[in-house]
Amino acid sequence: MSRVVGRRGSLGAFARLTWYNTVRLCRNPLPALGTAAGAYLLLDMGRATGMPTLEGWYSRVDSIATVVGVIMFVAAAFPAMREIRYSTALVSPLGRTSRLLSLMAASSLVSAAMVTVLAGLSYWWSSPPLPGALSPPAYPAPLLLAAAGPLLSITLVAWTRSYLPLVVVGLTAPVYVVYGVSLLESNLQNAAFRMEWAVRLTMHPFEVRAPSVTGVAAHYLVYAVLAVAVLVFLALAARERRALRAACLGTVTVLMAGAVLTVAHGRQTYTSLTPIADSRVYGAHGSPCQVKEGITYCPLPGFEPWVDHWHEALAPAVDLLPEAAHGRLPVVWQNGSSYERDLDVPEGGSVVVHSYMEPGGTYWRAEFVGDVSRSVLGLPSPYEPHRCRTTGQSRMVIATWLATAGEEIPRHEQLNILTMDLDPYLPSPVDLEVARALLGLPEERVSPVLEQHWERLSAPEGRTRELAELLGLRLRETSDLPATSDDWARLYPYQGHREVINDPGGRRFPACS
Amino acid sequence: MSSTTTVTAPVHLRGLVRRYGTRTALDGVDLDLEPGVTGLLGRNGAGKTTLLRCLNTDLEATDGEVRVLGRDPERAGERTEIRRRLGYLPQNPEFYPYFTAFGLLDYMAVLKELGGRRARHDEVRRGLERVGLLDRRHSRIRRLSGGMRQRLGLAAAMLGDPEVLLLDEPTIGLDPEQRIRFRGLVSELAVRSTVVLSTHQIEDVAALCQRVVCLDSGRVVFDGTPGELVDRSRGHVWEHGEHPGEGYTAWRLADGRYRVLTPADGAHAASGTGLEPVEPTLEDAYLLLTGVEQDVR
Repeated sequence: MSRVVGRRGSLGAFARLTWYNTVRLCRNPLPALGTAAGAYLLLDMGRATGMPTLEGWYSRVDSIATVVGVIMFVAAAFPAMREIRYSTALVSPLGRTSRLLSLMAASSLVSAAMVTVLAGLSYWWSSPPLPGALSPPAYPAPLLLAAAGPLLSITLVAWTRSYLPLVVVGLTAPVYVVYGVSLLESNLQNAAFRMEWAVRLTMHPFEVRAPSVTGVAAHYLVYAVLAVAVLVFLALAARERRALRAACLGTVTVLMAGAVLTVAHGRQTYTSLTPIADSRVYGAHGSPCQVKEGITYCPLPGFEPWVDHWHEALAPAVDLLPEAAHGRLPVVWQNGSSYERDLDVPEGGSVVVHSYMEPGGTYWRAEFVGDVSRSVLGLPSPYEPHRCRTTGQSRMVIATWLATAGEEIPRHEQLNILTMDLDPYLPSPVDLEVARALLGLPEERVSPVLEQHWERLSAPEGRTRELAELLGLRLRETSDLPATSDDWARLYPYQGHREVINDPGGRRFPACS
Repeated sequence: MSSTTTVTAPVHLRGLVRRYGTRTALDGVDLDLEPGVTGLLGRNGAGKTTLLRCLNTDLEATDGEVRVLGRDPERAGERTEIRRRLGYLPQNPEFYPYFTAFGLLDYMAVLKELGGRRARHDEVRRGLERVGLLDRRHSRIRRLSGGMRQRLGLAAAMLGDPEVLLLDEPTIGLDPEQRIRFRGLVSELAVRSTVVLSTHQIEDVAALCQRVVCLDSGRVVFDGTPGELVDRSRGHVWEHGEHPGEGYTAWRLADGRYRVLTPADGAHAASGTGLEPVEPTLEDAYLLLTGVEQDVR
């Protein structure tokens, strides 16, 4: 049987050609412009959203990899055409297959370098060291994601022998932009949405995206390697030699089957509802919980430095609580931002902080301390589906006071916090007046009252009027019914819109016990 | 196929057969080519390009023995070595239009593994100078004329002074001045290298080649010097004031007379017809050898 001779070259020649291709790709203005634009966007994103965690950084690197992939998808189309269409009659020590592989290697190298530079800049701008954990298999995944762009481009050029990648970008980009501002017919919009969904699903086919969990990261890495290998063999299959084409397509089939199985296994093992134990998180060792001045904190692996921040926020409020209340302090535990953490905590006696919440902000602190205070005082969460009202109950007012105590907060922010904390419980005008009055009282005056009357005031039976009397406050408000909009406007004139009081059903909530 | 044959000629072919499916493109070709220029003549489809592709290692022989520079192109390592030392200009070469002239040659030089960056660039400049394109080195290929592209192809094939140079219709698109320049270049290279020139331009063969190989239907029908080929046609070429009529191959010349070829027993065919014998050219000889015989019969 006669056949076209296959070609092989030495590794040195392959390396030299790869370097040549790499330099040429780097000289293309597109990657340079893309890197500059990416750096600017990162800087801008960094200013807008401070997410100084490793997972947050990783998520940004993922976005970087996608952008780099698109840029290189366009940039690689030109040298791909050079190899596919204009070098067929070329005789050189390196054969067509080696030359194509060299271009793939070079474009992957450039993509990886771009991602690495931008990821490094992003890390540097995030003020390292960053808390959290990343499993080692997670690190190469964005590089593979970025490499998939030029590899897909080369594959498309190999099969069509045309500038199809440029046509794809030239057509889809404007459609995507236009549909985003809703100028098109709904059918086209739906098609664009479906296309976007398919692309996203191909890029991230797993239900859980937690790069700190070794199993999840490993599944994604295996999938990414298989996907990249599929593209490589698919490009090589676009050759005239039947035997090579058959072998490559056979390999593609096997690789695709492997990718599908990996996705199926990953989706089955890690669902959004399946709690993941710390032992599966990279870097976890020993007990995750630690006790500080009687408060138990259970950070996620890698977030141990945040315990000091939490405690710093919580300690002043806890100091204002009487000794009797310390036994009711909840366990403070951190949940994953992308998965449900499997941790044994007492039901009803725990407070969750999330890994994406950066400690330090006024409102974060108020919410966090408010959660702990409400837990100590037995108040239900304002976000629970079956809500109840605590109209006239002193514990509600005490909880809001604790949330604002202990830190120098501007007056208007204190009032905002009060509004947010009181609003869901349907307070009466008396509650609103006492809560506001408490802000002006020194802690030394409030704490002894709480110390002496804790049992009564922290119970559902404890009334706000009693608290006011014990503190010697003279009240102007008389109503013990849920405050109306007018009451709110009178007592908190500069605070924002309140939802519950305008909800007619809200007034029929039962009293919290 | 024997692997113990001692081969000294840079190009050595024994019983080379190449088939495409049921069609036989080369049918038992035996050749030993030494340094110098060998012209490869033959009608379209005679097997010239197939022969060059077998020599440049692009196609594998169906049967027979091929040795280039003493190496067997069927063996991967030897094939790579052949490619390092071989230059090839394909028929109608297509180049990536966004390359500059310098960029293309630089790319080819990288592929040919021509030293470090500086040495490679020196060689590229030398190549461009050879074909008179140094002043156009920064021009994109899409902006070059057809003739310039052809010269660029020549420069690419000659990069690194290959020991075997295979040229498939290299002078198409060249103006007379460039053609003469090309002949000079090839002659210079042929002092050390084995050059195979496949062409329909008989004047190039006459001017350049020490040896002529004529292919017809995949077989070698002539292998000798241009002089020997011309000698074979002596007595078969005539001129006449008017067309001699049916049974003769004749064409009108610029002065209004007719050139007449009489392939078989020309003297007999010409007796009593008034045909005047003339000195044959290489073109007459080639036509007699390849095309005309069948036509006349």
